[in-house]
Order: sequence, then C-alpha cells, then structure tokens
Amino acid sequence: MARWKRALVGGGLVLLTAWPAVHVWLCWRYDVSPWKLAGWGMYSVPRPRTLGMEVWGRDAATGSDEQLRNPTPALAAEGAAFLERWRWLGHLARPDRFAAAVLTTYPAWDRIRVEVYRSHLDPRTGMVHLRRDDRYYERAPDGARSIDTPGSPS
Amino acid sequence: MNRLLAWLDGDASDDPLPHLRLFARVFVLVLGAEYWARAIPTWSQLAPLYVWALGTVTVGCAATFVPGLARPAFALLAATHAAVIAAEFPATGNHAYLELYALLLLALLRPADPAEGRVLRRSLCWLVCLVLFASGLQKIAHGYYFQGQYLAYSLWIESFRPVLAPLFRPDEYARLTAFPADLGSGPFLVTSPAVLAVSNLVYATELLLPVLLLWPPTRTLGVAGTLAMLAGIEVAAREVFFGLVFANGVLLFLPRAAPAGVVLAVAAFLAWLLLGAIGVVPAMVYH
Repeated sequence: MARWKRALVGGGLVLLTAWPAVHVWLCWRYDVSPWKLAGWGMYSVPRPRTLGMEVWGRDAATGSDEQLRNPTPALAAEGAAFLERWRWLGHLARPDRFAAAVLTTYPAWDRIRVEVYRSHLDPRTGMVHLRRDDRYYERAPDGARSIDTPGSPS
Repeated sequence: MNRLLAWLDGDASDDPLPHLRLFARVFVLVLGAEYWARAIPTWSQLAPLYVWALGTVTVGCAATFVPGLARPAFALLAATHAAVIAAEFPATGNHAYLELYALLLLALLRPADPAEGRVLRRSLCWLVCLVLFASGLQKIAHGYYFQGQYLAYSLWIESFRPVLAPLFRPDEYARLTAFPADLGSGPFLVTSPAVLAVSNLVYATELLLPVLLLWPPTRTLGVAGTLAMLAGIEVAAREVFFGLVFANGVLLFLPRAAPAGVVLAVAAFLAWLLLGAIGVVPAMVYH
C-alpha cells in the first residue's frame, strides 16, 4: 500500500476523531447547533419549535425606530437565508449581506437592528424560554458596517 | 493511526473482501435510493444542482457494480455528494458527511488489495465507533439526558409518544403532554424512574458500545447491542437512511460477512419506500 495513501487515510481519521471535541466547544462558545456539522450531536439537544426574526431601522432624519414589516421578496429571501444559517451556526452566522440589502432598500434608515430568536429548553430548570441574538449595523460607504455598540434602536 | 486501527482486525486469516463487497453494494443502494426519496416529494421544484446530482448519483451507483469502474464511480459519487453538501450547508444532515467519508475511502482504497482492503475495513469500522462515542459525548456535554429533559420534551413529537409513554408514571405523562412544549412551558424535568434509567442509559450505551466493538471477545455482543439500539432509535426517530448506512457499517465488525440476502432485503425495503413515495404502495413515514 502506498505511503501517501496510508498517510492520507491516517491523517483524515485523526482529524475526524478530533472534530467532535472541537464541535462541542463551538456549540458552547458560539451556540452552534449540535444537530449539524458532523459533530454527531443529533438528539443531544431539542430542536427549537419557535424560530423568528425582526428587523428595526432608525430613521436618519427623525431618529425614530420603525419595524420592517413588508419586505420585498428578495429581502425576505435574504433574511430567511440568514435565519437558516443562524439556526445552525449560531453566533458564527453574520447577516452582513442581509443588512446591506435592507439599508439599500430603505435609504432613509441610517442604522438597523436585526433580532433573531428561538425557543430554548434550559437543561438546568427544564423551562422553555426565548433566546435572542441582536445584531446592529450602520450605513457605510460600501453598504453596511457591523457595530458593537447598540446605540438608539430599542 | 493504522497500527492503532489494527486492533479492529478480526482473525489473522479474516479476509475483508466479502465484508467490503457487501458493504459497498448495500451502501450504493441506500445512497441512490436516498437521492430519489428526497427528489420525489419535491419533483417540480428541484434545484438544477440537485437534478444534476440525481442523474450523476444514479449512473454512478450503477457503475459501482461494473468491475473496473467501481473506484472511478465512487470518486464521481464523492465529488457529487460533496457538491450537494456544500450547496445545502449548514443544514446538511450528519449522515451525509458519514456517506461522504465512506465514498472517499471507497474511491481511494482497493478492497481486493489485501493491505488496502484491511485499511478500508478498519477505517470504516473506526467511523462507526467514532459516531457512537461522539454521540454519547455530545449528550453528556449538553446535559439534556441526566434528568430526562430531552425525552420529556420530545413527547410533543407524535412518533415518540407511543415509544416513551409506557416509561412515564401516568401523572407525569399527563403533566408533560399538557404543555404546548413552547415558550414558558415546563419544567421538563422527570422523576419517573424508568425514564431516568433509560435517559441515562442512552449516553452510557453509546459510550460503552464502541468499547465492546473494539475488543475482539465482545465484538459480536457489540454488534448485537448496536443494532438493537439502532432499532430502538428508528422506532421513534425514523431516520431510515442514517439507520441503514450505520447498520451497514456495523455489519463490518462481524467475524464473517453477513449473507448476500442482506442486499436483497435492503433492496426490497428501499423499493417499497420509493414505491410508497409515488403512491403505488402504502407510504412509510420517515425522515
């Protein structure tokens, strides 16, 4: 048997063997779903029954917040794609493209907040509660820039 | 790594070829049927990539039965499967990754070569142990099995109820099924002794079975235990394709290759499943 084959198979198996431990860390650190990404964590956590998203924009002229209620089909598709990524990738999923599309579609807004949420069963209390993850973006020359400081949208 | 995996060999005289032939035949049947089973319910809305993949996988699976074409066909299947996984990422089911690893190994190693055949069988067996052990590890890491939380919460799923109901005390079953299992519901903490025992046995078994499979004297017991556990999971979860792919891998641990009738039985089962999907026979409920 060729040495390169032996090395390739051996190296691949070592990586695959180490991956579940890394995957558990990703789940803890970034809220990645154990159900996906080949960590073999199917059925280790319940799948959320509630999953959703809201988008709020700040009007640059008045400073007031408005909720995005009737997105265009393209915007809705972009938002749904992000929500699906967030569902499985947790904090590793970024809505950069979606935020840029929102700010392009709504030129009066200078800042947006993307709220994503899902139901979560707390293993310690056994209670189902809402787990929310808010992302903030402001208008930038190239579309949208992620910001850490929430600012005014509420 | 290979020296470590030599532990997975059976008797020194054990020829891996019959095991690997059977594994490959069952595996391509399952893979091909899975692509069709996913396509049939959404036939009019299939993405162009999936249509291409369906055609390629169908031809590729058939080509693996042609002597001399098997390894190129497995390489084609691996490339196609990788493209579908990438397109569906991150929602790809875990069993798709397991199928990809098996396809890559089957494309790389020649089952008829004694040395490569041994490494191929060892590697596939190692993947089986890895999946089992990691599943148990994940359950401990996330903590939903110590007090029966996962099983209690799963009562909202229709297919889980008949399997789990006998384990619960009647009053606890009534309390848990009265919840909508959504926001504000709970607590999904269990005191029924049978549920607590089963819940903790799940991860303990997943951690123990790889040990039984790895140690030659307990290997057959490990195979029986793993297949029994898989059957129990399938009754509730009905993850048919994962179950078949995994059970096929478990059979590689047997001292002698399973009888060729296994291929016919799997083919008949998959034919029934696909005929059910197009309404010719009663449809099966599966995920």
